[in-house]
Amino acid sequence: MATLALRDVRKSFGKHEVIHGVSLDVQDGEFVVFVGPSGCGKSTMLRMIAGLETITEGQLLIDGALMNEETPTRRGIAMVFQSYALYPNMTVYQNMAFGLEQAKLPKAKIRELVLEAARTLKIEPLLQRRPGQLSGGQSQRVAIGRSIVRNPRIFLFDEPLSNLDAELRVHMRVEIANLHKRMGRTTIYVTHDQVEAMTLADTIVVFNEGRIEQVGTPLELYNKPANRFVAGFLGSPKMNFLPGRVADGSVVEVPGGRLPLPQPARHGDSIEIGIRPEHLEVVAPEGATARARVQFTEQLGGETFLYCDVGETAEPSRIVIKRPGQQRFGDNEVIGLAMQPSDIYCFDSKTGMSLAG
Amino acid sequence: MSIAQANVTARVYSATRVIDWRNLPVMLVLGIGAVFMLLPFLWMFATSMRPASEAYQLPPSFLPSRLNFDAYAAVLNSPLPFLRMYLNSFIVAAATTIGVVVSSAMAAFAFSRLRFPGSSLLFGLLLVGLMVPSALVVIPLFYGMAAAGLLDSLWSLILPGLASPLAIFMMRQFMEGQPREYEEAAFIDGASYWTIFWRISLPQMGPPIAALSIIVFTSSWNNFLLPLIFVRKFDVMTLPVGLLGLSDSFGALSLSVIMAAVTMCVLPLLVVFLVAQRFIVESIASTGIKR
Repeated sequence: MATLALRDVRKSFGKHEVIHGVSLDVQDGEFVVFVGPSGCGKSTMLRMIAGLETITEGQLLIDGALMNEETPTRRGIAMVFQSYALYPNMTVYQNMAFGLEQAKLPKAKIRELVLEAARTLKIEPLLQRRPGQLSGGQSQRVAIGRSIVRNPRIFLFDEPLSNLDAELRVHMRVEIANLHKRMGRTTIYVTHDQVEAMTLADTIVVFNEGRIEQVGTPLELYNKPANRFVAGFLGSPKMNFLPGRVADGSVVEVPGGRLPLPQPARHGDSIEIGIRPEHLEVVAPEGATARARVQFTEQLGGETFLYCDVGETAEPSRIVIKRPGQQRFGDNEVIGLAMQPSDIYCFDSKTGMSLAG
Repeated sequence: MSIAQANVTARVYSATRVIDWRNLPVMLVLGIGAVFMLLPFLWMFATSMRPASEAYQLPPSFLPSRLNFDAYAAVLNSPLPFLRMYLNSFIVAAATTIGVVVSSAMAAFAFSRLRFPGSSLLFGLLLVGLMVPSALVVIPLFYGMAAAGLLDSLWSLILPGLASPLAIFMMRQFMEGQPREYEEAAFIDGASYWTIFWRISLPQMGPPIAALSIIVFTSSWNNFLLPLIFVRKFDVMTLPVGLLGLSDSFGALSLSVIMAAVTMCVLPLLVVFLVAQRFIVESIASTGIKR
């Protein structure tokens, strides 16, 4: 059990700075998920916490103690890699025992701990197999087993599910959540999959270009994104953005119509409007405050995605509407749009910051 | 479908894949090439088995009229210590091979996995070593060995071959193609650099080590220049120069004896090559390719 703190942490490769002063506090037992697009620095940050990359500047504190120069073992961390990284020349048992052997534990104790971890993860029948004889899901379980057997203070997961197929990913996600609930260890989990982030995290940290964009619970980030980047990153399909101009204090003109403003704004200001696809309702075009033209429809069975153009210009804006059930629309059909004012997000068109108070 | 049926199908399928008659012209050309490659070996072996009188007959025949082992007996009973030279060759080749494998595997690990100041510069300098012809360093080496009092000893043949830039390059390229996560996982597990090298990295280097062993063993076994210059006594001589001595002592008429000696020289290499050629192809195919 441990707390972890980052204080203005920076990382440079040569002259190129990739992490620009990240500060973060992780509470004891918290499940923190780092999300962000490829190259945003989330994996580099995790590797610095693990001790696989040096920290160019700033401080890494674990339980209040400075850990910048300490080995991973002294930091008390264990890590699960995306590629599992099971030693191919060793059996599953030897893989799990390796870290304990390095800690110079007696053989009997090693055996007891490995068997206990194997029981927890239901991998006892696999103990004498080699990694080449395991399926993806089994390898992932063994990789997790190798990390829990050492009883670390902090678990680090580097995109552990991205090599699994969709069904297995869901299954392993639930297993990881259960494991965390059972063990209650501080966990930092890197993913680019927002569903994993939303379902697993106590706290999500959104990274972009080596900086933290926002820290919060999954629903905080979903409901109150701090900026356009966070709003666009969380949610599937992603939030629709439309350029708008404030017509009067409570209405904004966007391509395809006029929308109510959730909060007052200055007349004439250029802002960016964000509306999640699931918050858009389809109504009759007559009398609707905004209209769109259906370009094509995706039927997923349980829900329908409508891809529509708004604005009668040469380059109309494209929006997506997500509706429950099976709904049929003709191509080029004009539909009316309706939404709750509280579901409309406003962002500064220059800085991208949320205008919500 | 039963397992037996599936096996039969798989076998038929792989057989049809191997013998693709559309490739007949290619196979013919390769077949003819293979026969031409084998001819010198066949002639060497046949000549060693026939009496000296038949060795130069015209037109030449590739198969001896009767098998005759006199030439082999002559080699073993010659005034030169042939078996001693055989053993010397083996000691030099084996020691060089072990030395090169150990030194290049460790150097490759350092260049590929450890970060230390000047590693790129050092590796660049090492590559420069690839461009220096070995003949160029023979004279300085000779003076070095003379100063160390190692001339006329097996050490003078073993020591110069213990580190090879080509071997380091080859092993490093192989390691670069391997995922780093294994070593990183071991580091997180608390392993020391030596443990990581010995228990994680080295076991994965099987194919390049096998290939390198064959290449180094072969080139050391065949090395002519170093023993010619560094060694004058026959009891520390290796086979390539020893054969020259054999030729001198038996004269040109004893072609069968020379061929018998050459056959005995080549035999271990041939066996090693036939057994392990797969590793060479695998290793060369895998170096430089990121998986």
